[in-house]
Amino acid sequence: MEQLVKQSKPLILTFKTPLGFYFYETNRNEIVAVNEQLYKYIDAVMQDDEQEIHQFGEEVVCQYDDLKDCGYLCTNHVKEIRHPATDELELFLERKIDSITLQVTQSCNLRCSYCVYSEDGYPSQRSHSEKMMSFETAKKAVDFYFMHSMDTKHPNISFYGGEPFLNIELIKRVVDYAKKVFEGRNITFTTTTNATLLTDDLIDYLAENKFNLMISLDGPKSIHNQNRVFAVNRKGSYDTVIKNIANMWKRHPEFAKTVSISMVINPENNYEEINRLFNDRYIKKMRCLHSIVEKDDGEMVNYADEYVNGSLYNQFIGILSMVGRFKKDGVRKTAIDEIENMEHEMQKIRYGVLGDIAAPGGPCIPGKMRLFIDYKGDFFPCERINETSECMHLGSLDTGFDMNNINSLLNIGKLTEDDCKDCWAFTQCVICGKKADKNGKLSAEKKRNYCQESKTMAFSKIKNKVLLFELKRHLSGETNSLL
Amino acid sequence: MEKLAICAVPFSVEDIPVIVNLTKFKPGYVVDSVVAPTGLGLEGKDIAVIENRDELGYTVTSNLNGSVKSSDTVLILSKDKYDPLYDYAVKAIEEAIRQRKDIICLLKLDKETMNRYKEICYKKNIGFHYIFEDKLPRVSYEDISEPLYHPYAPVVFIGELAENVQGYEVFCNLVKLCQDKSLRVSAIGLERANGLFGFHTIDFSDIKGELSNRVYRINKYIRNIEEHENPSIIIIKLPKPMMKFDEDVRYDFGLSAYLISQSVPASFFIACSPYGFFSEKFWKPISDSFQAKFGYEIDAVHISNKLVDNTDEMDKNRLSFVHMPTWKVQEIIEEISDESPFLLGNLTDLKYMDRVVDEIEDSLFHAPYGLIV
Repeated sequence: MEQLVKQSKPLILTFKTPLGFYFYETNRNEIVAVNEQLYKYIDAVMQDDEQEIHQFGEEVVCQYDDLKDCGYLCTNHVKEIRHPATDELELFLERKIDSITLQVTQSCNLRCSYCVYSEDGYPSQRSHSEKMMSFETAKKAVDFYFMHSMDTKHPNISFYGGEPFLNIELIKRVVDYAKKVFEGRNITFTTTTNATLLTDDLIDYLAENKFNLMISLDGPKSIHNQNRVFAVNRKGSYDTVIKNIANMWKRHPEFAKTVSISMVINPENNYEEINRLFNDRYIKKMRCLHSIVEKDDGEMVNYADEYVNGSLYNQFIGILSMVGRFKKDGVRKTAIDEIENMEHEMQKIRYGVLGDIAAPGGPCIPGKMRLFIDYKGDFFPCERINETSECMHLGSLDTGFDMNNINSLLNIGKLTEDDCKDCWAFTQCVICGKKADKNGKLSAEKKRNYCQESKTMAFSKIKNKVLLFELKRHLSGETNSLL
Repeated sequence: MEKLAICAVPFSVEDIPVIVNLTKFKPGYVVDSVVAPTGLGLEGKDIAVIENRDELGYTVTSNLNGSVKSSDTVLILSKDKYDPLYDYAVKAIEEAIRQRKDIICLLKLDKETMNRYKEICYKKNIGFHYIFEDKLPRVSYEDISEPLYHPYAPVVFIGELAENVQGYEVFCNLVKLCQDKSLRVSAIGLERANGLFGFHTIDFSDIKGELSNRVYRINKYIRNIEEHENPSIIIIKLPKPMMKFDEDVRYDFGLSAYLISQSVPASFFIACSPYGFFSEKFWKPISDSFQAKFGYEIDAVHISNKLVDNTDEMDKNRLSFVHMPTWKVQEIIEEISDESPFLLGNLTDLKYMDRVVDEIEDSLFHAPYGLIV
């Protein structure tokens, strides 16, 4: 993969597969299939290989020019990094905060080994504590949201922890209050829980109030219990969670259908073993979203061979199921989630022209998409960031938004402006401020550490799109993409 | 004669044109109160706040009972069945009945419910004016063997590039200005308030049956209106956006606009747009494509203050907007409108709409020549 593209060259990424030759056009966010000769010619142009360039015939040069005439192979590089929402930032935050997340408690009744709030493994983050949000703070937060969401069509409040249900009384008061405040606007509520505290009453309450509920469950008993243990006795929480899920299905089957499972996968485990979770009669009916366990800065995640093999094989049959050549039932559930995610991501590669002033993909409008409000009323872009970081602090219920910090996070691309302007993955970049946060300051150096990962992800999206294209052509009897 | 006090309920963003035009088209009424639940954030504020506009002179209250009490007639505003305000609208009907107030009902009710309310109102001697949609006439084999009818009156279309970008307000303004110039206007559109204002309300996109038949049925509908009303101008607001907005927001791919455009040739077309599309580079190819697809170019453009929010992922198949302050939109329009090849402006502002009406008059009524079709 090329790292950066020279200013005088088309902002593209060339690549080939066993079946074809392609380039990704950054300025248009499109993938173009080309024949082998044209591919070699483009490659020679990109390499500035004068000798090689002159070896091609007129026909190939004409094809190259044709593509240029159609707006491809464009040498325009973005002139200035500036997020398109910069000028209207205040307007968005004044009128259209999409949702808020309330940290109702920092307390948790589990001690998961990978938890970012663990007392031991993650020195850069806050630790578990017994701190709870007060109703006064929560009420202020709801009022603030109400005052800043005139244009929000579907208001939503999420409850986050710790384990949010350790502060269920607050949640209930907030729900009652928010329903009154947002009367006539169909406000919805969301929670992620470890499901250990789901009593009959709580299940009834959640069903009655149509909560969007997500339950954390990492695998079958043998795997889940490795990591997700009770704080009080370090015993595994699996049996409790499964019992509560079964109870939820018995009490409110329609509600239970809407509940999702959130899996944090530790790829040191066996892939098939992890997926044994879905043999459970209830779990197999639930939607599963998964992510790979995150380590603190600088630490690598280990992948067991059994995991990699199982995962790749299931991705393969998952892709076959996308083109109707394999039954979806035979694909492991985690792979189905991956495939659905892949489809979603592939849709992001679609025509759209970059202007002279633009910003790399990646940052959201901080504070707009899901403003995270901690127990004492401080603002952060979302729940995934480091709450102790100065650069992530977006203001508070008392002082309002800190527009300087918000602007810096929105325009995170400015940190590495020259690199970004010449990067083929400009549009598909996924780096947000979180990745540039070094000891509370935004750091270009730290951000650059993630460039390769972001490019790999972008290229993976592009490859998957091409893979589907080739597969469909192959199945329809075409052997080569272009001759 | 004393004017009748109207309580309009439940108010939401799409009702601005109904409120601001009510007394213009129904001078026997006065808007006494505009009611919305507190959750809309409008309590004690001007209705304009919901669109981030300059004040329009109507303050919102959440006091339903009190507002119904002080009114002569309760105007139940139209809401989609899935709108969270639908139930509030039903509640308002029941409150009006309880307080024995006359009702004008723009809310679409199923037949059974409508009849039930009608009967209750009849028994209690309460006026219940329900707005019915027009129905398209049937066409015979002879009808579809004949060439399509070409109206004698010039036809103006108002179409939107995205849903709810103030097309209805532009439509109402145009109708009013034309009426003020003593033109006889036949005004046609989907919005149910049309039935109150004395226009035609019809859902063109809801027509069933074979596609080409629908074209003939719409054509016959317009013919019937023209023969019956003898208008000097026909103004039609197209029911759905002119084309898909992008791969996610597809509307009906512009099919309704296409069907109607095949039924009736437009003499003048006004495009209503979200905020941000100012340049000729954008409008010229769109206008050319409309000429090729629909048979008319764009003559005037309304730039609304609705900025598309691309970052909202809650409703993938609908656009979501944030409202720019109107003064800001106005400033940009002032800068560019003189250089634009189209009449371009904020057509909710009569200053700009006047220019459009002048242009319509010049090009359609005072033209030195014209084709007889």
